[in-house]
Amino acid sequence: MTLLTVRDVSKSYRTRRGAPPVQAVREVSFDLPAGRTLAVVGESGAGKSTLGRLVLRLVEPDTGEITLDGTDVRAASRSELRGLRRRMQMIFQDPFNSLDPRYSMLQSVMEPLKLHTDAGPGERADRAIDLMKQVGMGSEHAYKLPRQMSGGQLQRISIARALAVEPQVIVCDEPVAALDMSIRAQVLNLLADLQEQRGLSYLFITHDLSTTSVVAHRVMVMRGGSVVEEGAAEQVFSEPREPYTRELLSAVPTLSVAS
Amino acid sequence: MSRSITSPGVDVPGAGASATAPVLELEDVAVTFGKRGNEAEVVNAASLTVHAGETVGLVGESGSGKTVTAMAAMGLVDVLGGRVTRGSIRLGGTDVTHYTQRQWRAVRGTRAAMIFQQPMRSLNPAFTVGEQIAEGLREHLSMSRKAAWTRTVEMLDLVGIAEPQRRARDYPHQFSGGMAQRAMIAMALSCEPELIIADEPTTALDVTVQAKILDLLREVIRTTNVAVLYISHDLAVVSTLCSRVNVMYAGQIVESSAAGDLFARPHHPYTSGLIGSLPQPGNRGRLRAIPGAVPSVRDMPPGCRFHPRCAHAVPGRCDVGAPQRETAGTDRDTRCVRWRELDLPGAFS
Repeated sequence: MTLLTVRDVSKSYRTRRGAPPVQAVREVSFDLPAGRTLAVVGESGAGKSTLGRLVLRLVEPDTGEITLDGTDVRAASRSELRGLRRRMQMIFQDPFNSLDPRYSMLQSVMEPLKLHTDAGPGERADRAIDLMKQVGMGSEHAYKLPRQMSGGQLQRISIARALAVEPQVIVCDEPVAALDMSIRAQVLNLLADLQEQRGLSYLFITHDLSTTSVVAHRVMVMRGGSVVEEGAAEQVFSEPREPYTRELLSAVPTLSVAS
Repeated sequence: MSRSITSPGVDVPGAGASATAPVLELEDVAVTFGKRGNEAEVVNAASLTVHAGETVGLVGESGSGKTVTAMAAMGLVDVLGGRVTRGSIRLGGTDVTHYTQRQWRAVRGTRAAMIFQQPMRSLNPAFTVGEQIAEGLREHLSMSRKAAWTRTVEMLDLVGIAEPQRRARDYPHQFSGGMAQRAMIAMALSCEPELIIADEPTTALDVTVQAKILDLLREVIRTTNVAVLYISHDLAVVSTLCSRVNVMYAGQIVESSAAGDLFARPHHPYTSGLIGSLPQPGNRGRLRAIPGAVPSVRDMPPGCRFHPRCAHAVPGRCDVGAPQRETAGTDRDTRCVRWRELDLPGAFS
């Protein structure tokens, strides 16, 4: 079942007065089925992060249609948009910047519950502790501040925050790019576990093709704002159709032994 | 100068010359930061050797001490506010551990050069790229203004910058990230150093640009006799470039070996864990992650520094004492006390 449908979405930015506008995203279309991961892959300037923000209407598209489970995202009023954002959450690359430095871990996870649910303070705390456990963070971390935590731990808290409102879709914008290798694997495994348990859909934005290969069911390759190629992950990796996809794939270093 | 990368007077191809002293030799180097009473030993025991014509990898995660180790080898730890508290640093057989900054200035640029992760930050925005390369040549090699400029243009041509004559007059902001890194490589090579230390030189670049810079570095390594210490968190990049790899964890080198042996049959659980954390292309599913996180410098666990995260740790053996480097086969060593008993998965298993 298709959960999120995006049709011909475009966005351009004016950089300077008189200069021609920059087309950040150009007529992009895709379907994201329930419980699946669509990886959006590209290099800097491909438009992949803008696309993620357009889907959530953090940035207003110029043209195109976005439908979440039958609801027109672009036509949503301010109050409807709040409901939609409960169903679609986002995780960012740098958890140090996306969490409030003055909030304890528990407060950070409780905040979305306060905004989006009518749970009382006691229930919010119970649910937040439970969410922290689900992402592998014990209650001993509840009263710590972001500066006392590592990047991997903070990314777990960001995931718990996103999960708090029980979303259907999570837009993950380079969620492991800022993390160390060994921690990257932990977070990718956690995302996979949560998808299995909760039937979550991920729009997984990344520049890293090797990460893509472990998470994605489908892959969409972007360049200069446009979609170059889209298909089942195995197909894109084993038989890429477009020269640019082949170039990207061959550029990825893989473990081998130098001669 | 012809369009090939050659060091005059030296044409020893391939592996290091065994008769001569290694280009770089670190022996049990420790680096400490902070005031007395509140010290943090960021590097505890770094030993590694790089011979002429050899490319050696130094792999580790953030906080492992790999960059500080590189800075020690370039005499730059005092600049960062640290000091070398133990061990020795030798360049071409000369002990430089206690060199003054004045002495180091004669070494840096001419005998040893460094390439950093952020080429844009390493270039001065107020001068043209060409002026910055030429300045090094005039200062280090006492070249005339004209000769330095000619050589600068040659160097830019050598590292694959199109229209080098014109590009030499560009300011750094007119360069893309990949071109800026090419210019940094040109600058590093310009005085024909014996040693180049490259610290994550491709991490900030797009993957297709990274591939081109790695090709350039391979070409430099193949055609000159320069010794390269290549620092990276990326095992895959290191595997394609280095003949020898040192793995660093929590301020210590925990394993050192020829690259092929290290990846095929790691002798330290951390190395094995890092290899397992690497996504293999076209292989959907769970990764073999290492649990936990890197310990803080001020709160190092007793015994083996990796034991709290290690699936093979045994109480009474791994959490006591201070494991030393043990010889584990020809020209390789590990800091794991249990390496003989363990059969650890590698890259191709």
